[in-house]
Amino acid sequence: MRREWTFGRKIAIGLTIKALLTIIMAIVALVTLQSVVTSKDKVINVDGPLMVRATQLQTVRQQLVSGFRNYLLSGVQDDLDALQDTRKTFADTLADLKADAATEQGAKLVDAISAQYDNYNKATDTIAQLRQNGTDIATALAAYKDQVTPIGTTLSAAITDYVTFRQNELNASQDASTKVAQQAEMWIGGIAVAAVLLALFVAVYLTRSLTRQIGAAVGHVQSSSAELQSAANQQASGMKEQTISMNEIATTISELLATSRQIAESSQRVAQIAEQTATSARSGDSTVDTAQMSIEGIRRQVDQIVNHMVDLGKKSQQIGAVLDIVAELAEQTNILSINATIEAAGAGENGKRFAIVADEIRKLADRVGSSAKEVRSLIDDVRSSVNTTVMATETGSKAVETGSRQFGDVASAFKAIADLVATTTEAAREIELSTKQQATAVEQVNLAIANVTQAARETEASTSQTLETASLLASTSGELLRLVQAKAAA
Amino acid sequence: MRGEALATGDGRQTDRARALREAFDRGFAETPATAMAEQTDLLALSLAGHRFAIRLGEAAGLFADRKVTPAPTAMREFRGIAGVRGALVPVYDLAVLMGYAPAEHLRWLLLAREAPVAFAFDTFDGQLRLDSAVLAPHQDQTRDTVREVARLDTPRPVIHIPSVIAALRRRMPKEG
Repeated sequence: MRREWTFGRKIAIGLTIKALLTIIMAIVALVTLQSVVTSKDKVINVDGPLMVRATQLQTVRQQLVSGFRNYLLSGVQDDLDALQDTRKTFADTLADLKADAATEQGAKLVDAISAQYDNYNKATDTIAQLRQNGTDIATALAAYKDQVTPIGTTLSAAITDYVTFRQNELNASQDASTKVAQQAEMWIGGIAVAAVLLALFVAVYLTRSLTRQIGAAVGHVQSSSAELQSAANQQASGMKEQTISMNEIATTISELLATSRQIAESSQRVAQIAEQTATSARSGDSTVDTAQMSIEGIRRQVDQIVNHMVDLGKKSQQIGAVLDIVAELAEQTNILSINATIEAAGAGENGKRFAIVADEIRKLADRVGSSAKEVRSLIDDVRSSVNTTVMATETGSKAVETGSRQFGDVASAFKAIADLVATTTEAAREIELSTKQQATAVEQVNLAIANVTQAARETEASTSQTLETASLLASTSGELLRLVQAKAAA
Repeated sequence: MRGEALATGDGRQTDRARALREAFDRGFAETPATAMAEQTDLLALSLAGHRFAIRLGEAAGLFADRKVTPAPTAMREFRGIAGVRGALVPVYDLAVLMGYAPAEHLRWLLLAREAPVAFAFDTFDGQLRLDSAVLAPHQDQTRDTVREVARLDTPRPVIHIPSVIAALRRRMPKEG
C-alpha cells in the first residue's frame, strides 16, 4: 500500500478487500452448496426412486409368482385378469427403469431383467394355456415347477442384481454427496479462516501504517509548532527592535531634515561667496601679471649678482696666490732670523745686539706667517662664501625662473578659478534647490517611517497572536500524538 | 652693510700692522742684557708625531727644502749628502736615530755646531725663547741622547745633539 495514499483511501481499500473476501466466500459457499444440493438431489430424485422401483420390481415379481400360483390353483379367469394387471404393473415399472437407466451397466441389467421377464411370461403363458385346456393342477404345477420356476429364479436373480446395483449406486451417490458437502465445508472454512487472517492483517497494517504516518505527521506538526513558536518569539523581539530602530530612524530623519535646511542656507552663502571670489579672482589676475614682471626684473638682478660673485671668486683666488708668496717669504725670513740668531750666538758678546735684531725679525716673521695663515683662512672663507653665494644665487635664479613659470600657471589658474567659481555658483544654487527638494522628500520619508512604525507595532501584536496560536498548536499536536501513539502518552 | 664690514676688516688689519711695528721697535728699546740673561733659545720640532726640542746653541744652521742626494749605505738612518754653505755634509734621519720609523718627507735640515753633519726631520714647530727655569733634568735615563725636558703645557724632551753625534760615531764602522 503506497505511503502517499490518503487515510480514507487506505481504509476504503481495506474494507474493499474485506468485502471482496466476503463476496468470494459467499460465491464459494453458494457454489459448494449448489454442488451439495445437486448431489443430494441426485440421491433423492434419481437413485432413491430407482432403488424404490427396483425394490417394487422385486415385489411385483413376487406378486406375479403368487398371482400365477393362485390362478394355477383356482383356474378362475379373474385370477388370470388380476395376473395381467400385475404384469402390466411390472412392465410399467420396468419401462420406467429403462427410461431412467442413466448408466450403461444399469441399462444392461434392466435389459437382462426384461429378457428374463419375457422368458418368464412365455413360460407362464404356456402353463396357463395348459390350465385353460383343462390340465389338472398337479400336472400344471409340475410343469410350472419344471418350466417356470428356473426362469423365475433367474428373473429374481436378475432383479436382485439390479437391486444390488442400485443399492451400490445409491451408496456411491450418498458418499459423493457427503464428500461434496465435506469439500464445501473445507472450502468455506478455509476461505473464512483466510478472510479472518487477511482482515486481521489489513487491520494490523492499517493500524500500524496510520499510526506511523499520523504519528510522524503529528511529530512534524509538533516540531513545526515549536519552530513556529520560536520564530514567532524571534519575530516579536525583531519587531520590537524594528520599532525601536524606526523611532531612531525617525529621529535621525528629523535631524537630517534640519541638516538639509542648514545645507540649503549654507549653499546660499556659498553662492554669494563664490560671486565674491570670482570678483577677487579677476582682480588677482592683473596682480599676477604685475608680479610676473617684477619677478623678471629680479631674475636679471640675480644674474648680475652671479657675475659679480664669480669675479669676486677669481679675485680671491689671486689674493690667495699672493698670500702664498707672503707666507713663503715669512717662512724664509723666519729661517733667516733663526740662522742669524745662531750666528749671533756663535759671535759671543758682539753678536748679542744682532741676536736681538734677529729675534725681533723672527717674531715679526712669525706674526706675518700667522697673519698670512689667518688671511689664508679668511680668503678661503671668502671663496667658500662666494661659491656658496654663487650656488645659492644660481639656485635662486632657477627658483625665480620656476617662479616665473609658476606665476604664468597661477595666472591661467586664476582664470580657471574664475570660470570654476562661476560653475561653483551655479552648482551651489542647484545644491540649494536640490536640498530644498531633499528636505521635502525627507519630510515624506519621515511620514512613511511613522507609517512603518505603526505597521511594525501592528505586526508585533499579530506576532503575539501567532505565538499564542503556535503554542496552542503545539499542545494540540502533543495531545493528538498521545492519542495516536501509546508510547507518547506513556 | 658691506662697506661697514669692509671698513671693520680694514681697521683690524691696520691695528695688527701697527702692533707688529710697535713690538718690533720695542725690541730695540729694551735692555739686551736683562733680556738675554735668564732665557734659553730652543728649536721646537716633531718626530713621528712626538714633540721634541733642541738647544739653539747646539745648531750651526737651519735650512728648508734642501736637496739631499741619496748614497748607498748599510745604515738606515743615513739619508744621503747635502750641500750646505759650500760644503758637503752627511744627512741623518733624526727620527730613526731617536728610535722611530723613517720619515717620508724630510723637509728640514739642522746643521750641527759640533761636527759637520746635518740631521733631517719633517716638522719644524718654531723657535722658543723660554726662561731657563722651565728646563729640568729628564727623569727617564734610558736614552743618553735626552737629558733635559722643557716643562711646557705639553712637555718637550730636549735632544742633546753632542750625545747624538757621539752615539753616531760609536755606530760608525771602524776604518783600518
